[in-house]
Amino acid sequence: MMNRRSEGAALVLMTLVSFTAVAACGSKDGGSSTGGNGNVQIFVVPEDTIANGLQPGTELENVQDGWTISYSRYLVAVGNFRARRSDTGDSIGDPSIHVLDLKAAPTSGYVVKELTNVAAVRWDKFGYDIANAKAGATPLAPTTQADADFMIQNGYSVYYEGAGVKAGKTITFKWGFAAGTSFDDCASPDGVPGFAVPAGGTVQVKPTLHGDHQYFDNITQGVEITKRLAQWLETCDKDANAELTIEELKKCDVVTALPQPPYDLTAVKDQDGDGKISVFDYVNTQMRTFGDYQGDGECPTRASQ
Amino acid sequence: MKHHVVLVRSFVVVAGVLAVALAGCVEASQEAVAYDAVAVSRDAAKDTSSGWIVTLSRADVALGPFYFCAAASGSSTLCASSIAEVAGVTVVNALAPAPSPLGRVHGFSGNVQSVSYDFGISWFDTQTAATPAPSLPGGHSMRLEGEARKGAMLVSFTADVDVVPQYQGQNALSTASAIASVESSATRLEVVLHPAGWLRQVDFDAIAATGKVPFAIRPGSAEHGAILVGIKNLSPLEFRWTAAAAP
Repeated sequence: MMNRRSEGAALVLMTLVSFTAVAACGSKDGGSSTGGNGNVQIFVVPEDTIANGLQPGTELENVQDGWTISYSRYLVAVGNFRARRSDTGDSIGDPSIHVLDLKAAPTSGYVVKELTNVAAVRWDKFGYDIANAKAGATPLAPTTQADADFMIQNGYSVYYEGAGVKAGKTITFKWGFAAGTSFDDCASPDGVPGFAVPAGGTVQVKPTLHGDHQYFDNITQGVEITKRLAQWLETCDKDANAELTIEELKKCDVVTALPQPPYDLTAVKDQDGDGKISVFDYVNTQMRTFGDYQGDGECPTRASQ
Repeated sequence: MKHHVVLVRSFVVVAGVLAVALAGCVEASQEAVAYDAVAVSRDAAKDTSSGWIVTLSRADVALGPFYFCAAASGSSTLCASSIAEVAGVTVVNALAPAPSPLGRVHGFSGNVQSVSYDFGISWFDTQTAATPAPSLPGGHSMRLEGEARKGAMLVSFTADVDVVPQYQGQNALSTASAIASVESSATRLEVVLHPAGWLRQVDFDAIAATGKVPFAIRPGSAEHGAILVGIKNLSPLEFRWTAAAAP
């Protein structure tokens, strides 16, 4: 028979269990809520491949068919950073679009936004846009206003100049793409979604833009299971003048330039609507995938704009 | 006795509060579902490619397995477990006017956003190489036969096509859009094929220039690569879910 003391203890225990259960239910941030507020610092960071190019070799990150790739200019229009909490629906963000010269980026990347006095919890939904540049897109130093004007006038989301070199042969390229894409549900390389704001501290959030997707042998989904190949640079230079143009890419048939195998062209779209799949379509599609997160983390929900 | 009554009442109140509070965070349960899948051919026999009118007379196609995913990408790296699947491989006559059975979809109710699938050649994690299912036509994913005509020029062709996964653990079509909200087993999946569209990237001018009749397209050739572009990019399978017809 239960005595009064034990009845009271049982009641307290039930109440505690209830509060604990309800609290656990309400917290979908995995218990990361720390109370208080903190700050968010958003960096845009170019991958090393943009600054230092790609090297030939047999390592995972190397170009497997002997090409060396380098960039002399690499502009992007990026912004509309946004974060949301799934548990409350609260959101924060900044709709601004910036034109950034990734080749000239500061060592730690561009600090594009600082959000202060943000609830110190996990913001589990993070996304951003690589946007087709429009009036109002602003450069961040050392990017010049001339760079921004160039991107806006052409409506480019990305523009780069560079060269591929193999066995003494050099192929140069200057390509711009209006390949605006939203990147959402970003997660760190170990799969943790969004970011957690520390109470009284600052979290660094780093959209990371990759410079090697043009050379992948597939359109990666999630983990980058792929090889890097660049022989198509020479294959598509039909006039053999060592300058590969956008028009040449549009006339370059993937059947001969990107043979399957080793390539897998799943998810390549007919971006120019000509009824065929060309190397232009392939590179354009890859230019809708190069937005990553916190290094090699993925933003798996992508939508063309 | 009185204390016991108070305790019981308190327990009921606390339990009630707990039940109401937890109800708000318990997600709706998913129901196990099973329903038919069929292949449906649409404008199957004819298409145009760079001025050539392509007409198929035979299209034996191996379909499956199919894995449907609740995530936006059906890639094996982003969709470790499917919400529904058609586990088997079925060879269908893709020119048949009537729907062809593909077996049963087994899975759970809920939203589908993507699919990954094979054409009878799979490369599972447990296999050291891509492996054709035993039922494949001649060991290939598909056998196509037909002709292409442009003005006075006529080309007849045969094609043995292998649609092979690129890497171990992936499907031949690693992800594609497939949108549905499946609520119950009173559902039917239609896999829509347009096989003549698979030849849109084939260079029939080049084939005509060879003078070979019929022209045989085999794995590893440029024409075979062009058909893969048709299958994956220009005329991919479509997935439609409809209410099942009453028995």
